[in-house]
Amino acid sequence: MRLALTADERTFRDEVRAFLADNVTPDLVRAQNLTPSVFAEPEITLPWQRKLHAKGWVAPLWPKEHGGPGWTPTQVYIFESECARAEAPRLSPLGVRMVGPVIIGFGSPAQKAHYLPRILSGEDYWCQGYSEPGAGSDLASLSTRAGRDGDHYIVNGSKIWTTHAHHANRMFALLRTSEGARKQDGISFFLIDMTSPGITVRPIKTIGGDHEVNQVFFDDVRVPAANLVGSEGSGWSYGKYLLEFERGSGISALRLRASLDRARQAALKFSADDDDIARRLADISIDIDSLEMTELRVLSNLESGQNPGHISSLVKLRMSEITQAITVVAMEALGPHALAMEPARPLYGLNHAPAVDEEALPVVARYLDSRAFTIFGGTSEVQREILAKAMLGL
Amino acid sequence: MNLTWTDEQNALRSSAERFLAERYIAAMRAAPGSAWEALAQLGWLGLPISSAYGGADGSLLDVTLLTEAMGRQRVTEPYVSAVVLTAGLIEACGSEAQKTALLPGIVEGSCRIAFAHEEGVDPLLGYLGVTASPGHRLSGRKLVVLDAATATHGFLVTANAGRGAGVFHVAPSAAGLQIETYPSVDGRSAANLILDNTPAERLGDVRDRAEDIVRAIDCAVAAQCADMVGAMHAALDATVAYAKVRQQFGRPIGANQVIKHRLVEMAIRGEEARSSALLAAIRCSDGSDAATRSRAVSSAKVKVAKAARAVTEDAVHIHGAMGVTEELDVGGYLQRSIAFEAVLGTVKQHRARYASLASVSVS
Repeated sequence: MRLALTADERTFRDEVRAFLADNVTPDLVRAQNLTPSVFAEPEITLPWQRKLHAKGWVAPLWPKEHGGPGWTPTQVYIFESECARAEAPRLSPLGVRMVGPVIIGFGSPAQKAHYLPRILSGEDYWCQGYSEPGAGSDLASLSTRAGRDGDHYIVNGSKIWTTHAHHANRMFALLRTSEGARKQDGISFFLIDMTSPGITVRPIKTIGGDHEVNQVFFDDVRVPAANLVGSEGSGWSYGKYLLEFERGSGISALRLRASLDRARQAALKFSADDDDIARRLADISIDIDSLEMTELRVLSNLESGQNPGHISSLVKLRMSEITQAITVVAMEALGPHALAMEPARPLYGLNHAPAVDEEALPVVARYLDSRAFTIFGGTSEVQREILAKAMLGL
Repeated sequence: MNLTWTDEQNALRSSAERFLAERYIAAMRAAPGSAWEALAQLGWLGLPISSAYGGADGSLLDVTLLTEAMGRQRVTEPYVSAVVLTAGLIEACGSEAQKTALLPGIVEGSCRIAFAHEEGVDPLLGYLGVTASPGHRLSGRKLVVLDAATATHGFLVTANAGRGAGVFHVAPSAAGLQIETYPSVDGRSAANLILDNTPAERLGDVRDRAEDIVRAIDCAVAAQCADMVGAMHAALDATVAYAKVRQQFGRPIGANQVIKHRLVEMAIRGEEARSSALLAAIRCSDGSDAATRSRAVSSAKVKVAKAARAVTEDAVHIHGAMGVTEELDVGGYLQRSIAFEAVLGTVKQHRARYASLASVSVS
């Protein structure tokens, strides 16, 4: 049992820290902190991604042969924790963390050669076609159909809650290729060019006033058969593999600690000497200590070659609850300042003076947008079902 | 970074679990101290004590392997008070002669000393109302002296010794000492001590022992956190097993989502408590500075206490009316969690100490 870093690990940490000190500019930090939605805009994240790309550090978890840095799990943890400490922008996970591992694991050599370098460079910006108006928690009942037509599939239907579809030039999607006895067996995994004729994107505004998600309509969209990943009917297993990455690659506590520190600073300004707020900030910090140790236990298992398994569901559950708890205390600390709502976006590029101080500006919108945390990536109830089976045999 | 137990530690854990599951019977639970000789024979009493005095040079992490197993079986032996608290303080503060006189007896099982520190104010703050005269005579009142009834060789009493805190050994028959023993909620006992010009022997020299006292409390809380992790996992296991067999409305109650999700929440709390307790034990074992150690311990006390109460309350609830009776074990785990919350700093006191110490991340 040892939490301390080895000399080599400390050297690595210092290298990461120095790089971040040189490259994470105050403008980037400000833009990230004034983003109330879950994902930052690509105009913030892509320039940062290009800096990381030049260093070879975009995809910490990818194998070296595909452009990953070849780090040990501890090095990945050190990198992520230093990024959290420096408040570096969070890259969109859709390319690097989600579709990337699926292409690496199940894609054809041609797909790997074409897509992986473009994910790393940021040349391709991805969105996810999973949920449908009629298929949320019961994702396997999805009905957007891909029918074979020679060298192509013809896609008809609609996807929803599609984060950044309005920015993306690519979508990975689960589509129905057959109606079988078991609905999971008729699902296939596709890579779709968002500029294809027949695709329309309808913006959906969140209760926080952000345009982050969309509904995407497919009207006889032709997708080359070469864009099917793996084999027809195997999409469900690839999708589940991907969801384990979506539910947290096991490193979230340090980002939560950075958000809590921000919330604490704002609370000190707006609710100084408030015992109730102070008590709740302490309890959340204690929850983060525990989550961080849980993540380190997972990491230690990974280092010794064991599978994280159901712990990703446990981490997703608690991470989303802690995220929401931080937004609640931050909002309540504002007191009457919580009334003001700035409708213009982005908040870091307003061309008028806002009604409240900058620390307060994203707080209420972030609280509202963050209600999504216990819904996306599998609702808390879905996670509890997974855990009931995996941990308790129920 | 490495969070795996060694083969030796895993062996200690499984032998402790096996021994207590097979040999620790209800009659022993009802008579604290009755299993002490057996624990001595297993070498558990010397585990954290230096080999110079017959111990095994173990760390607090090693100790938590035993206390977790003890929590699982609701062991009522005074292990934390007599081995972690008072033996730890003797080793930290005592002179060579005092260590030689007391520690081998503790290791062999012939000497148990109780810890008298709390006075009704926050025990973590260092305030001491009990005073020591220059001639080492103590006056004042101590509360919540755990396991006083099973102590064979009196008490270690903390006192304000003018310039800083001192730790004093008081014999059970000392003049002016009154002991008011009372049963505790978890089937053990505690006592109030009234000291009136009571003669005592100071441990070691006149140095301020405040940090040694805090360190001993931190180690004891970390050991108790592991105990509660064992207790809540036992309560969880019993409840999950019951939910699978108890039939109502023609199906097991665990098939109802409302029960199932409650059980999952208990299991998650159990994992969270395990993480926090582990952090505390590591920080008590790895030479961390006092602030880092105390913050980890207070973090664990708050997290584990909240988890233990929630898990054991739910365990009682899901067992239905039977859970509220002495005929089942689950109520005993709830009682144990109440005792844990009450001693060596309440949840509120630990939260306040946590908030007062600067934020540092685990790694």
